[in-house]
Amino acid sequence: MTAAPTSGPSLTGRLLSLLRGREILLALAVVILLNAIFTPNFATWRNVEITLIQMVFVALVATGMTLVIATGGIDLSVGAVMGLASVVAVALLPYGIFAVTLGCLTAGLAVGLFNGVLIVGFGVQPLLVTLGSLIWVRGLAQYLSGGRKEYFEDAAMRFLGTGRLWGLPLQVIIAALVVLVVAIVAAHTVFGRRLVAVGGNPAAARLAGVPAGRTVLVAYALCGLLAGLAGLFITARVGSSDPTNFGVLIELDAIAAAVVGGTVLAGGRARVMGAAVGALLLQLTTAAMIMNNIGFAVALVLKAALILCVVALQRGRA
Amino acid sequence: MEQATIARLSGIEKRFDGVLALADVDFDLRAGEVHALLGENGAGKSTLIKILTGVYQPDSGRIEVGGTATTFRNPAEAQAAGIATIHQEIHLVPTLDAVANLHLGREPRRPWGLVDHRRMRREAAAMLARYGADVDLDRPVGELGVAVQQQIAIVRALSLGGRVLVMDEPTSALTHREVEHLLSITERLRDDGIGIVYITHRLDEVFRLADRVTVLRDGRRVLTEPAHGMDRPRLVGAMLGRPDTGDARRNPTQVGAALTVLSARVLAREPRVTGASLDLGQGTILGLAGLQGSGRTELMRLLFGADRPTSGTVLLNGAPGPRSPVEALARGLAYLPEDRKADGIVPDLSVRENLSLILLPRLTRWGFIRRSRERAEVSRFMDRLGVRAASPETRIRDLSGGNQQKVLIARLLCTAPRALLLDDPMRGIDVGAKADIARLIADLAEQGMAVLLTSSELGELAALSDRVTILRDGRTLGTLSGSDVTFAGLAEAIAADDPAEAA
Repeated sequence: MTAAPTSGPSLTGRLLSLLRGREILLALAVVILLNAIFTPNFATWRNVEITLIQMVFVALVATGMTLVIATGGIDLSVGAVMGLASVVAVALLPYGIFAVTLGCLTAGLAVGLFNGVLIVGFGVQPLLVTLGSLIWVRGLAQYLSGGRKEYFEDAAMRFLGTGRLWGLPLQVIIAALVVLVVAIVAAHTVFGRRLVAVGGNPAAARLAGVPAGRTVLVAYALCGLLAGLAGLFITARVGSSDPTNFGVLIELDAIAAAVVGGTVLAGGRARVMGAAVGALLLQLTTAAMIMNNIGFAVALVLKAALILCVVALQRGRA
Repeated sequence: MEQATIARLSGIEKRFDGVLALADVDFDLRAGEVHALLGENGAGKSTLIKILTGVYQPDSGRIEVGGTATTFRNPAEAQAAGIATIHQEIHLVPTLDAVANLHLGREPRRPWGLVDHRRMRREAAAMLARYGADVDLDRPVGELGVAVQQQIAIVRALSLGGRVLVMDEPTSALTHREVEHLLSITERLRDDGIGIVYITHRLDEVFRLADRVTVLRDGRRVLTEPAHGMDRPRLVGAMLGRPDTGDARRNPTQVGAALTVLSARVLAREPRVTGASLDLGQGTILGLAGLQGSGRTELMRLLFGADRPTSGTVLLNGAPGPRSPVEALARGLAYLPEDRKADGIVPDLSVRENLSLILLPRLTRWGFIRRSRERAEVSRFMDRLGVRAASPETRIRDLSGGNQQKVLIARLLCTAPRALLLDDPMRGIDVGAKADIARLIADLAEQGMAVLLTSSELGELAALSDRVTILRDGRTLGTLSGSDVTFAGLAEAIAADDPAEAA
């Protein structure tokens, strides 16, 4: 006697399993669809461009944040780093765009290394260390600049801020490349694998010969570096430094983007592309509500609801 | 005259996810006795205790307290029935003083609702004095040291009206003198008529304190007997497994000719390792026998470079021992941790990612992982160890314990090490996987691997090892070889009163 053939999974079952781990894409599709129907002028190239331009900063910061969260940590100092980078940028402007870029990246890297050394070398909790950095870095930026915004006129900076390449905004192209490179690093290098091993089980990773401390340190350094880049971009875009307002509360958007993108706060998973999509989702939601004349205050509440929904969806499987 | 039974568990059965943790276990406790509960990790001690204290509910069986059948839906109900517990970790608020901790949650009030501090202090002092606990009332308990905190916890537990006190490895974090004090407090409690369930790994405490002994193994009760006049080797034997495991003893490698790969001389890291010496030869299996808490795991970590010794020396291939796991692995020494879940697997990563974790740097080109080579290595070693998983991409947490263990062993073997430290590799896995791993270890030694092995089953250790070094309280007591390496021989050596006997 032959066994009855076991029936394959149903079509809906297969569709569901295809979506598993990609709940965020479902959410994105829903948001785009709703927008296309209800928001006037949503489905225009112009609007797509605006959306992408507006999400550049959050996407860059969220990319670094994802690496840090993957280790089970957090970095609250990213917004302050943007403020500091803007001050550094203006100070170095007389020496040319190359010096400005190098200065911003160095400032970010330095803060990131500072965070990493305290966390790895002295065992201080990431939340405390980076909360402290949030305060002192913002303070340093204000001290160095006397708390003033400085406006500037500079052709190279204007190009970096609002220029276009191949018909696309330059910042969008660079940010996309950065996200892509970091995503590839996270998924295909030894460093990326070690990152999630350390985040998933630090004790096991150490016993398996993973240089856990160095791995975590590099994650914070990269996070700081990318925040420095975001600081350079916002300075170039606005055409002034702003030690007080640049990057304020961006750490929360970045954390939200990373978590919505499938990176777990407890660590052990790094979804860089997910974070970028998460940033896009948050940006679309906010923009849509504003374009539909839903007040900014209400938009905040709805945004929070969306974040909770996506996270709940992800927790549903496990 | 025999004291009345104050608590009785009968026919207790408990499963977790279908896995049997306790099968038909009986346990009873009389007023005014110390009843020692013994067994290796995973034997079911803590499950049984958690059932007695209301943390878990049994799937079947009866709980009687004071002669009436009861059920505990939560720890509070067990506490209300007079069952108090002292855990290994002390549950006090470290920033509050002893007075506040003793009254926490039931502070005496003055008529208008304020806390009556004077009365609190008076009562606290009286309670502590009654059990001979010597405590500074004015300092936060976090500053007082483990032993004193423990005394406060005991007094607090009993002041709730407890007639049953469960003490879960109370001496594991204490110094020798503090142990003495705790034992005398325990004796005083017993003389007061309190029934005490005492969990420990230290046989000396059992024979000093216990009136009766119950041994659990693999979720079953092996024996319950009066402690007085009990044969020590028999007790060790009951804890560490049946003498007739049925495993054929492997043919020992010709000892003596073997080149020494790893050796240790009076290695120490207080308090767990106090003086350990051993020699591990190429192509041999050296067993490390001792009870839980004898320092097996801590010694292996020292050898591997995961912890730094405070004194003593390690030699690996004639050079000073590794100073870190990274260095140990680079020099061909690999370590399988005892606690698979805490120190072994990265639960959310796939079988592939877990297996290749150590090898990974050797599978790259310009820092990028060569996926095809990784997949090839992973599937080669999954085949070689017989790992059963739906695919290499399955999360390792979804595998059975035995298959997880095989992946972890594969993680070590794919780096082609020369020496292996295997810390209880067959613990908590099914019979089939056990046999597979035992065969693998024997094969590896045959092919020249040096293996240092521990096991919580003495029979397995005897069957696999060429020689066995005996470890007790962090000190090696000597090495048995040849026809002395038998279940009975090992049990006797571990249980020996005088260290000289084992030499």
